Amino acid sequence: MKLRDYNRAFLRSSWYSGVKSGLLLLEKAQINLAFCSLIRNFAAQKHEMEEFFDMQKLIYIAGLLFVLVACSRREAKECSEAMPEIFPDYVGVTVPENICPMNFSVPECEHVRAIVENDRGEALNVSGSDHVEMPVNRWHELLKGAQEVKVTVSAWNQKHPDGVNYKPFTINIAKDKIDPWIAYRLLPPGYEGWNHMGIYQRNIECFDVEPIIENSQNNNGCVNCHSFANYSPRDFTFHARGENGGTIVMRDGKMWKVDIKAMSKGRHGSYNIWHPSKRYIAFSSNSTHQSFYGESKNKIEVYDLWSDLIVYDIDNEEVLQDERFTDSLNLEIFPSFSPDGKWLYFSTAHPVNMPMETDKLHYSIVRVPFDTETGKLGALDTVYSAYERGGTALMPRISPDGRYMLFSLGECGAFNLYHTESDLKMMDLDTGEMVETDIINSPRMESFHVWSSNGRWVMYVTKRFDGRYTRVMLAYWDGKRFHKPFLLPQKDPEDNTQLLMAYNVVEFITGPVIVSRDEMAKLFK
Amino acid sequence: MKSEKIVYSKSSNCKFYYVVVVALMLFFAIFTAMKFPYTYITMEGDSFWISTWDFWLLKLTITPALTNWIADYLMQFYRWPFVAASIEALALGSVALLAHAVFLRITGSKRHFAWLGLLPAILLGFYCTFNFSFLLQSFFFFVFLYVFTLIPSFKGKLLMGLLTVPIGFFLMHTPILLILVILQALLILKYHGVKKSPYWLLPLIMLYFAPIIYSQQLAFIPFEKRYAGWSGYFDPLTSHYTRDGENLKKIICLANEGRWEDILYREHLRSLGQRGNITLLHYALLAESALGTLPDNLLDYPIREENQFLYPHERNYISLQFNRLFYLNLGVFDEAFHQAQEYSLQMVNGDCFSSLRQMVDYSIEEGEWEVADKYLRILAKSSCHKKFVEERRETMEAAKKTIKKDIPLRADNFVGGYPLPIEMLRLARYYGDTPYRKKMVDYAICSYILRGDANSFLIALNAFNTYTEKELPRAYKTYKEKITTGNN
Repeated sequence: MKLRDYNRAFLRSSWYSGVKSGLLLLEKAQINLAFCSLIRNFAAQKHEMEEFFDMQKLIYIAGLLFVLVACSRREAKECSEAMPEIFPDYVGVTVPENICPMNFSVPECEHVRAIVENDRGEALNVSGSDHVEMPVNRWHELLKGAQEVKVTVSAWNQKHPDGVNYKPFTINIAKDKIDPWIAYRLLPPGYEGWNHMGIYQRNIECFDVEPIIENSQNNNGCVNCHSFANYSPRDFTFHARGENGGTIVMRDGKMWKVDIKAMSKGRHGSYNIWHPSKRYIAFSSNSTHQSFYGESKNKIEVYDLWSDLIVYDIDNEEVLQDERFTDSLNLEIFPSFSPDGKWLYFSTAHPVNMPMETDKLHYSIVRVPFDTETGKLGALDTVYSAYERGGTALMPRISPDGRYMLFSLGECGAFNLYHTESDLKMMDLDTGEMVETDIINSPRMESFHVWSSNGRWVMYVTKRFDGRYTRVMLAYWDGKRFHKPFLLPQKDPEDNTQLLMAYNVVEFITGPVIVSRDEMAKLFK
Repeated sequence: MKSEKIVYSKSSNCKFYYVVVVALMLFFAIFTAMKFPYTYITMEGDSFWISTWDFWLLKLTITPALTNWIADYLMQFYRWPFVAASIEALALGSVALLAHAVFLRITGSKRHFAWLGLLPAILLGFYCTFNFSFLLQSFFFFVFLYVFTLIPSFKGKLLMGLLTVPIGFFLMHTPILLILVILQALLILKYHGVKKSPYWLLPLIMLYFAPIIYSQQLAFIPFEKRYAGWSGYFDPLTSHYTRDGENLKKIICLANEGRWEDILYREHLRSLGQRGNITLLHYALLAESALGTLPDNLLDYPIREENQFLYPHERNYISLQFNRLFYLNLGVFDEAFHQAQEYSLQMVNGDCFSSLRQMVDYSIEEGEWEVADKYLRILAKSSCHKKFVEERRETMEAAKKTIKKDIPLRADNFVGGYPLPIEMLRLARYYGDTPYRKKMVDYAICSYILRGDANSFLIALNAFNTYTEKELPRAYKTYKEKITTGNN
């Protein structure tokens, strides 16, 4: 029997099942064990256990710890009518049943315990020093088919040395699932340079993160503006700047590099979007600059000295240009196709003297019919007029049912990521009416939003936590209203605050992008 | 088979060698601590280490991961130069002792050869003093070599040879590992004969595949760095710690502490700056501005244009450090924050203690409590910032009660977007009647003097009533007389 087979056989054995059942019983009895979660986590994640050779010894050690800790169980003596102050704020949020465990911390806490109970009476009992980490598989078992879970938090701190039981709160479970993977860029928070940066993918059903590309693979150049066709991990594109850079296109799993600049006589590709047919990619071509405020709440102003709209026809290997959208009379940015591929939306504005006249720069959202056969653009139709409604409207994203347009609205300028006042707004395209979105916004920036493939979830980035570092939020759209959003859970909740990188260009994908690192790097040799 | 019966000659009476090594270590520690204290302090500022899983994952992307991680950990203590010098002396001394032991075991009774053991340590001491990661790699190199010579049997040696590559890959750069494996092969040839040598192809093959596997499974290593990648290690000129000299480090450290009087007079920065050294000229002029004497002494310096007041649009170790201090002197904390952030990105970890500490202070000045708190939480995960974190938390709590800045959402006060005098005058509008405003106006007036722009000079002179009805500083008076007499 091979080593690996031996482990598998062991995991299948009744001995292992016995341990697992015992732990389940203990949890159901709600016995507070500090290491219960550790052991449970261990038992639940078979694939991790398989990596170990001497499983038997490990179980003995775990059992020993179990006995030791069982002797020191703690029960909170006080009761509070207040909700616990947890980070992230998951009180009353709505989550999909396939989301990863909603681990949270209780600030300035020495010991915390949480009992998570579903409406079938099944419970999960976890504890930790200042935060709780819930086992992935057990969490999913708990959420499956549930409408809500009740979370009871007990905390021990200087104020409550004997512990306090807080008022339980609920987490609502939506029937609609969320796409299991997301892709995003991580980079230093929006200054000029970078050291490490990359485009990463994360399985949001657990905490697995993998790089799609890091800048060590492309001669330390910038990697940016990735987008996927129809949420498919086999069809995506991104830009790699710097030495031997270019636009990387992967279609049906085959990857190559394109020199958009050469094909379009000087216009490189920036912000992009795939046409649902996978034949076209629309780009805005931007001469992007940034200026730094000396004294201002907004720290940076990002703007284009010129920007145009172009369409790359993959089948014919050519770049299609429409004079209306490549002249210097207007700026065009952030293209977005409607899910049926019949419309191309984008933001447009009259150029002003930047950055001095930032206050006068207002982008409207317009759309043009898109001919799928020829790639030609039709007559212009204004969707959101900044001149009539005010502000600057950027990044239109159409819901998969084609009915709603989610966009980012700031006071002025071309790039709301650095505008504190930027909020997400939504327009009903059938009526032209605005839909209430206050619940997903904050006094700080919200932007870079996307719809999930089923149109029930919205993902976006926010600077609500500290004003400088963007973090990923998810919100449920039930077809009528948005529910309270929640911060993308991390294994250790502190990762949300302590990561010295910022997220942007978040995208949903249905699975992981599978590409060899060497194969990717060879494109930039 | 002779391989199984090797008896290495015992090293005896090596006391004199040990005494020499200890003496050299002491000399090295005292000499470098006395001669390069600010270089060590700067190295601490440029380093970064926190006890988080994320940081370890980051270190995996920079081979050799474990050695870099250990080096970063130890460099936290470099803020105390004698500790720094002692750590480096200890590493060098260990290399000398290990090399000596290796030579003894290889050369047998010919003990005079063992003195060659000093050579690697001396070379490292001369050429890699401020490259602690390389010192550690050298240390591990000799540890592996020494342990290898301790193993008598061929099978044991082969096992160690096979382990050398996967373990050594976390401890040494591939070229060093290659030398190690080749030396191991030569030792096999010496003690176990030609027949056993072909087995050493196995570690060599492993060494070929190690970077490929590492790149696929852990962190990508660029193709050009997989089997080479030691350029720069032996060239002291590539390290800014050696290149820029101790004196500049000292000036920067004193400037960070705001000890402008000290650096201008005690460190003779004024006279050095007046001799035209561009970097020192920058610092001399900054010190004059900080002390408020720039308007008097401007014309004593060989400055030709306003761009010599700072390094506009430059992003390197020197310029980012200086520009941060320039804007800090003017109270433009956002830009000081920006420059500090950019500076940290120049470091191998992408973050560094000095920048984090500075950004904490600037965030508190700007009332960005959450950002300050974030950095303090991170610094709390290092080994030597307990006091700093406590002090800053107290400062922050006190500041929360007092600082109520009325900061506009947007304002046309872009940094680097305008010529310096215009930038200064635009910024000055947002700084009220403060010393910062006066410094900004002075920079604008001085810039117009350097340009020879008399009209703008006269307009700026009256800006914000800074010099109305006051006796003009020496440089302004001289220039005004010049333009009055038509000698401009």
